[in-house]
Amino acid sequence: MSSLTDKEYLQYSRTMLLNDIGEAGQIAIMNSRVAIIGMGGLGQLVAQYLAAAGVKHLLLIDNDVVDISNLPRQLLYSPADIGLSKVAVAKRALSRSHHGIDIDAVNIQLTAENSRTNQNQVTDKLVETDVVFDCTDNLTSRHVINQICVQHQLLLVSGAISGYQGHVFCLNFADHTTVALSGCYHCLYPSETHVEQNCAQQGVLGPAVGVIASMQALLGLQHICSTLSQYGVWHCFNAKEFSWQQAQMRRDHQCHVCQPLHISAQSEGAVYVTK
Amino acid sequence: MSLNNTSPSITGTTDFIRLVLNGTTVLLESKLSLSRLLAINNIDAESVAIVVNDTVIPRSGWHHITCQANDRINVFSAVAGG
Repeated sequence: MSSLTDKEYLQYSRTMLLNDIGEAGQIAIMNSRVAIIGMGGLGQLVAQYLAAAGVKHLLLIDNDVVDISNLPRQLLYSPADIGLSKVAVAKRALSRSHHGIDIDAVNIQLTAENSRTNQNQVTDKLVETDVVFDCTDNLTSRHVINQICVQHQLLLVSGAISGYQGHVFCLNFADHTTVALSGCYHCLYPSETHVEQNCAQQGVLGPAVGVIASMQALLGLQHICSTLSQYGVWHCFNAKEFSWQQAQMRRDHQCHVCQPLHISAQSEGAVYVTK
Repeated sequence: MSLNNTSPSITGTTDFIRLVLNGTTVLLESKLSLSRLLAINNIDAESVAIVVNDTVIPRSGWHHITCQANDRINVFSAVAGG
């Protein structure tokens, strides 16, 4: 797609009014391909925002089914969907609302145990995407996704929330200099990391999930439009105090996952900075 | 996470520094490593990330990086929910 129809001009006029996005940015959005892994609280909202923004090609990955306990925060699903595959329901609902959208719904889970088969199944699809949104609900899947993104130098937008704490960041593994500075998910949370409680145990408020999902969509859209400057910044949200904190991410010099990209950055003249 | 009990036991010859830990000014033993800081607060090191002066400190450095006077240190629980 290289130009917009009259209807599209009207539909996306508010986006294009932003000077640094304009028509070129909107066309970039409509030509983009994104992957959303995990179609729970975060993923279902990221998908809705991106589809509404004009993204035409979405890869949705999840093996879960809609549960009654999902409904207070997973607004894409209704009571009639309980027991049905989330990706199938999401594909149906988004296709109904957004004409011309192309959705690839993949009903699998990315975990270490089954990851070899499933990775092979989805990696070919992921490498075709401009942005990978990690919206999963467990550390194992997050490490698998991080590894795929590092290996194939993809753009990762990672969001997570539990209780009143939410985290979100964007890493561009195609930019080796940035990786040499900011590292990867494994640098932030090494493999031995464990979470004290998840959403199912600790609880979560729907709008707090929405805040993190909105941030993920915002990061992804701005990357697609080439207006993003927040690579490698860890955004931490406290939904109890309504406060944000930002921190510059740092590569762990012992991290084996992003080591190849670090070496590549060094050969390109980057300087590894650490405290 | 509770970080209220941040003052270590005081001995006659120990030097102390003042810093801000999770938004609260505290007095801590000098030359205290980040690992030790977690330990005296009964925080499981494998379930948190640490930010010092707006920079994430990778876990591999927690044993040898020491708290400095006027540092702003934040300890965040790892979250993975979606």
